[in-house]
Amino acid sequence: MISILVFSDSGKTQLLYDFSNQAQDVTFSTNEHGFAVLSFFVPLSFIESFKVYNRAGLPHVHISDRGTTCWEGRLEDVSIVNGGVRLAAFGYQRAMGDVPYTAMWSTSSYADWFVMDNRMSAESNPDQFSFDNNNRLYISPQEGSTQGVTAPARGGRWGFVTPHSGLRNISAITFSYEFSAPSNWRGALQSWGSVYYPVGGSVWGSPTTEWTVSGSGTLQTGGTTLSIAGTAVGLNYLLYYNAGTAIYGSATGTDYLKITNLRLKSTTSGSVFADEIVDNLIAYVNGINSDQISARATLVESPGVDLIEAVYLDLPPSEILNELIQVGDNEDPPRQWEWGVYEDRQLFFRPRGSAGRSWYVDASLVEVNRSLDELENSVYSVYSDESGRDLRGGVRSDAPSIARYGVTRRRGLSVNTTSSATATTYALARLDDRKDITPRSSVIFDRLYDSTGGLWPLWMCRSGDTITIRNLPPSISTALDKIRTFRVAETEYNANDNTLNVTPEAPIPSLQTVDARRNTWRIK
Amino acid sequence: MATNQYLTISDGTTSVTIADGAGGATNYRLLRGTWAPQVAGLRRSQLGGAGQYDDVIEEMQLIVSGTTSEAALTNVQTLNVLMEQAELWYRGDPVSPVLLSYSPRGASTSGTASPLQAVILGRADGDSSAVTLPDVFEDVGQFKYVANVTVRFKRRGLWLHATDAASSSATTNGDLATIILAAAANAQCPTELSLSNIFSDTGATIMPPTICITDFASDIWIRDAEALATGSFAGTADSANYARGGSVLRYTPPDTDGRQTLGGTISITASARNIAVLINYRNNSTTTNFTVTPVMTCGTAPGYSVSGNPFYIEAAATAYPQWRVIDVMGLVSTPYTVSLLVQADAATGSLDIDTIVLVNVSNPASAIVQIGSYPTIDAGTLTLYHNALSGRNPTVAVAGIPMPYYSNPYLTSRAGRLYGVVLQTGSRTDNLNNWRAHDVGSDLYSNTWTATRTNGYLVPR
Repeated sequence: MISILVFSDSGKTQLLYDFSNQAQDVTFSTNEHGFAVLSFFVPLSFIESFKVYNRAGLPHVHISDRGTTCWEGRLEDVSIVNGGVRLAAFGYQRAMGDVPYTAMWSTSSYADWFVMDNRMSAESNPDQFSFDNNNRLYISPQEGSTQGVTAPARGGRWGFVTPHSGLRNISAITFSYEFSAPSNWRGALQSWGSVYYPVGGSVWGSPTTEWTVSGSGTLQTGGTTLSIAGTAVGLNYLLYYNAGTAIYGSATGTDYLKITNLRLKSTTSGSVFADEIVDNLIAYVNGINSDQISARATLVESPGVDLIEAVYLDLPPSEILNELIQVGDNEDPPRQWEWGVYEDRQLFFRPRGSAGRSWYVDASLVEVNRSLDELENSVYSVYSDESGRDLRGGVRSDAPSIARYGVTRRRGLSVNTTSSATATTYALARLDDRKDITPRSSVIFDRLYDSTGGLWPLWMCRSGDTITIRNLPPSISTALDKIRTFRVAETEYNANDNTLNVTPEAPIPSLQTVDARRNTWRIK
Repeated sequence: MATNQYLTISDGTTSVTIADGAGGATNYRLLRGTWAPQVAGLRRSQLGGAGQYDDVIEEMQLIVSGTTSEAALTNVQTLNVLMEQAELWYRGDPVSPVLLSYSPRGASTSGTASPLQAVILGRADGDSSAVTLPDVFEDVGQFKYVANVTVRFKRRGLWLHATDAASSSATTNGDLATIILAAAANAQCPTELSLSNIFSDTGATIMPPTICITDFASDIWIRDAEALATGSFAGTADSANYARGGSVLRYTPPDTDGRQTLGGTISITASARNIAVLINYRNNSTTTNFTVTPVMTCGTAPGYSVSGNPFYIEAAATAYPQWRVIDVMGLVSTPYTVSLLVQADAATGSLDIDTIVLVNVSNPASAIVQIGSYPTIDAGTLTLYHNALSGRNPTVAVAGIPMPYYSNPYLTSRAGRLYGVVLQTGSRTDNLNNWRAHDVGSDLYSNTWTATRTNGYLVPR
């Protein structure tokens, strides 16, 4: 028998209420992020209702059956209604939406760099230099400009700062450089342990020189990866004339420092994988609300995909996680991923359905309907050339689908690429996904079996599990195959009626679609 | 044998006597043909806390009279107040419960002195009141009675009667205790359970117990885990920590692949189809995590394997034994062996398992009650109260102090015997590392189990 117990906190310090034999209309659900919603009504007197309503803290609700956890979450909503209270608890996935997160993990964007002036560093004289950050960082002394280190020293700086109040500092930088300048000219990379906000509001402190290159009169090229001291919140590239004051007589652009293939990271790891970010999100949330999310990160797996752009500004961790799971992984074909919280408030981050179980049911009622809405049996890609002008690829159609449904439904697919071959691949993936109508189905069953025929409680079925309907007739339609076996997106169990509603998941996209999504994704 | 019907509604102080059991006149006469007791069915809801039987709606018509018209009206009001009190009690107000007491005419099991009883929960769902007055109500002014007063209310489905109590002999924790009651019952009846000698002690070195109970001997199976040793699983002596049988089963992972123990032969109830698997384990590593998956072989040898769900055991900053329900498996046929599939995420460290306990939870009388943390107290008696006639919910207490619990403590039983085991680790000597709870010195704690079953009937007798 199922018990509904309310404790004072997630540590189950004090048992507040046992509502097992009083609760009415009890339903609890799971979704792709774990335990979702519990809702029930308890008939109580007005005074008792207010005792529940006024309870301090965030009570923990635990539902169990014969020693096994059915559902658990935090009691968030208490409504005093006619005759008692209506309670709603939510799974601890909600804890990942309690506090915003700001951090720079990795960026290769040049747009976030800015030209520094003497409000930030006294030796910065932007009017003596020419700057450019269009796919590069470029500094060149202007013809006729005054240069030199005699006070006031003059230098051209491209600056970068981490997000204000961000949680992570710059740990590593990778870049390629071109330096063309005569002797006495210097290029450098400097880091800043502290910067002043707002940027430009006051002079920064003293920088640390991380890298230098000296002019030789010939073009010098190279690349490097540097570790930056853990407290660096700012960087700048610097070009300056390391001698006494002199007028620069060459044409602008003759001598320059150019930086390309730039990447900043706030981790010393060679690649920025999602699991490292997830681990940090867990530690961050646990550090603020230690009783909401467990500090344990042992259920976090690595997708193995390097995230080039990963900058988060005031985002709830749940939103960040939702973005990370869409990147897929380095498998061939790439897998979908999922995150959520089930037992013990422990967050998982893993391939979708990797922990799912397989169930078998005998449907007592199957309703199927189809709609042309999602049918796409003819597609073409829209991509761009290097100047940004839109180009349209050839139309690709599926003749059997057109014949079956008696109509050509054509769509254009925007692909962020300049390669026509890549654009075509994505279009074909889209066509494969959408050329057959996926029926919407509703399935009703009242028993849950495993592969050996063992009978299990209905509530054990969770999001991510797979259900196969055993009693459908032999395949008479390809559409039928799509509902015979499906992955569960959501479940809702009614404990009073002992019934289970399941929502099938949307069809799993093809590998190309996931691959395209990963490669074009830039998390910002 | 009861000569006449006995039927009252009372809170112990105020009573409405409908039939006095002696055939005498009362102020609340049952209108003939308007009432027969409802027979409760099995509860469809999966929610615990009140037994297996559904609540029922009773409806009857009474002729309420008095020495004067005013007295008759007062008597109607008394009835209504009791119905209202019943509902207030069910909603949680601090008032006494209202009981319906009944003994059928000609019954021999129950009688006037010991009637069947059921707690009244208030008006029926959807009704505006439990008492409805007739259209001819105004006749009370002339006849000094109100005819055809309809009383409609909800009560607990099982009629409860006398108790049957018995105790076991002192049984060492971790061993199976037997309680022999006078006779089997007619239905799944609420059963109160007390365990003596439950310690807490200063320093919290004794872990709260897990109590497994059933009413069939073969529904609980206990086995020393070291009997399943093979390959990377070795029997390792740990008598110093009171391992059952003196040793534990130690898994030392050679790699990160899954490894399976030997299959231990099970002798569990042939009809078992849902089996809870409990183990006490200790992760000796601060870095290696393990998963343990129960595997059962079913059918006719060689049979087929059924794997349960993996149970995750994390690396432990401080390693000490603990009991956990690691899975509840659903089976199609009787299992005859059980083994454990263990997998480590690193080829280092070790995992110890002392005992495996299987409980057939298909039996509605089987229960696994996990007691929550409790305050420091001396030795006391742990009692699981069903409160079927006195409270809205079951309660658990040690030495009278309410305890938190993690499952359904409303126990029911039907058979003539009960069987149970206390699963508890730690000791009174500041040593959490003990596999079985023990006292100062070398004595394992023993508990005396006392079961008090309140016999119940679905059909009054």
